[in-house]
Amino acid sequence: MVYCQICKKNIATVHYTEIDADYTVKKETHMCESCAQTHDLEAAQPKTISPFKVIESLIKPNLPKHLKILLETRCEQCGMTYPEFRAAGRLGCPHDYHVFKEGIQNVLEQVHGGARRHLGKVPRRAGDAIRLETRRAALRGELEQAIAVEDYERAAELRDALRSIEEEIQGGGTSADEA
Amino acid sequence: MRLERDTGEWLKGSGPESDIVISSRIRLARNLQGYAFRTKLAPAARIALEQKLHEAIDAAGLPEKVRYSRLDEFPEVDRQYLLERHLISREHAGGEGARGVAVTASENISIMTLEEDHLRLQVLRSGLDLDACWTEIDRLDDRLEEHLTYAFDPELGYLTACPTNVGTGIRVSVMLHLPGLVLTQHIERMFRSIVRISLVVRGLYGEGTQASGDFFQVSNQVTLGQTERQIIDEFKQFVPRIIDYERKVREKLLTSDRERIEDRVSRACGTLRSARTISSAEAMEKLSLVRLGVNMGLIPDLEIGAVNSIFINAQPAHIIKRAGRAMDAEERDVARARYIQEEMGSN
Ligand SMILES: [Zn+2]
Ligand SMILES: [Zn+2]
Repeated sequence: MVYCQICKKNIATVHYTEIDADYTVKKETHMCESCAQTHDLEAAQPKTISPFKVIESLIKPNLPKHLKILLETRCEQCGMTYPEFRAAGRLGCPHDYHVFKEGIQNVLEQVHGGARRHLGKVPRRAGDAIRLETRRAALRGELEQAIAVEDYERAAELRDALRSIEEEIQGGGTSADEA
Repeated sequence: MRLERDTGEWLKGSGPESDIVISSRIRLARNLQGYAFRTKLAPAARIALEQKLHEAIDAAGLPEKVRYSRLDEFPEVDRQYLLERHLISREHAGGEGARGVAVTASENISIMTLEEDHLRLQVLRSGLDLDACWTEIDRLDDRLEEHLTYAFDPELGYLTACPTNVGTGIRVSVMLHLPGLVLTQHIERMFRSIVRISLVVRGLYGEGTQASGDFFQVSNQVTLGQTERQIIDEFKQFVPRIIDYERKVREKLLTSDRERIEDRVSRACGTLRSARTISSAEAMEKLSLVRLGVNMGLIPDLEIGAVNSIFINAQPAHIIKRAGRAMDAEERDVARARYIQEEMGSN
């Protein structure tokens, strides 16, 4: 549930989304019916070169399909919608990372400097296979880094560590996927 | 409520580089699989989850005696008191609904339940000691995991309510006292170099607060795509450079500007030892100069642990807790002046 950004009292039912030429969401405005009627959207928006302007309740047929889907998606587990996430900046449940995957990708790229995979700690309950795979990815990254700065001693160490992880992976490990 | 100690162990001022680094802190954000994040939890489900988390903390067998408190049953002054001691966040102090905090006797460990994430683990240490923080929090996280199943994705790591924390869920911070750099106006230049290596500067009480006076908290921003080790190593490379910079500036002040710096320190001391009423802001500003003076050997009869402890105990909720009754701002300022003189002596 999102409140109207204009009067800050009513529930927002009109969601205005400004979209960049590359389909990333630039600005969102959430309003109640009565504020939406009196608020001059066109005047309020800064003039940009070619943004798509969308009022969700009358989605235009030429709206990119994946964005249209994103705006209409609701998480069936917690009820979260995409505009609600963008307004609050918080997700409703772990499942939302999959439900709004495309929309979250932008946030991850902005905050974490390019969307890469997780390389850190893995909980024991996730199992050995995931732990080894994550460790391998982390070592590969560190090896590339060591070679880039010409630290060959460190690179040799990392290569050994990588080899022993790969042997462990090939050995099948113990597939300890606990329920 | 009253905690066991006058101040947390992390304030004793004994850790490495503790003349400049007040404390090291690591925080981990964790959520449980199969539950909505906090904002989408119905009140009844939230109460049940709070109990489950509380039980897991009890069962985890922490290394020290631990005390769990329900914050929603606490008066505001008690929540403020925990915030002033850096045991809970501002958001947790001001929030609503079922939520709690577990604090160990030393105050080195605190675990918030139902803050933004289901669990926020925190380990604090005196001085620059991030390795000790990591060893401790890693073990704590393992112990809790024996009783709980975390929300985790192989690609995205630990799933958090806000995507800015996803991955490792780690926030490493170091709290620095940099009066020399502020006094000589070198601080801006130093911060510009921090931004370049993707660390951020925050206020004394963490996210969303302004850096105030001579105290600065440096934290990581990136939580995805790096190992916890790599994030900590970035601090281990960078923080010693800030420390060096501050030390050099202090040395220079002592050789080229000794009269001026001695004057400022001794005036600050004089104010604290003779004021009849003093605001929190003025006390912090003067205490910062006193702390600098102690570390430069200009005030022989005070030790750094005592000054650190005055910083915490002179804050508003601490003054009220000490008096044991409600007080308005004017009464607090009088009580604060009296408390500082009990600790520092009066003129
Ligand atoms: Zn309205
Ligand atoms: Zn959801």
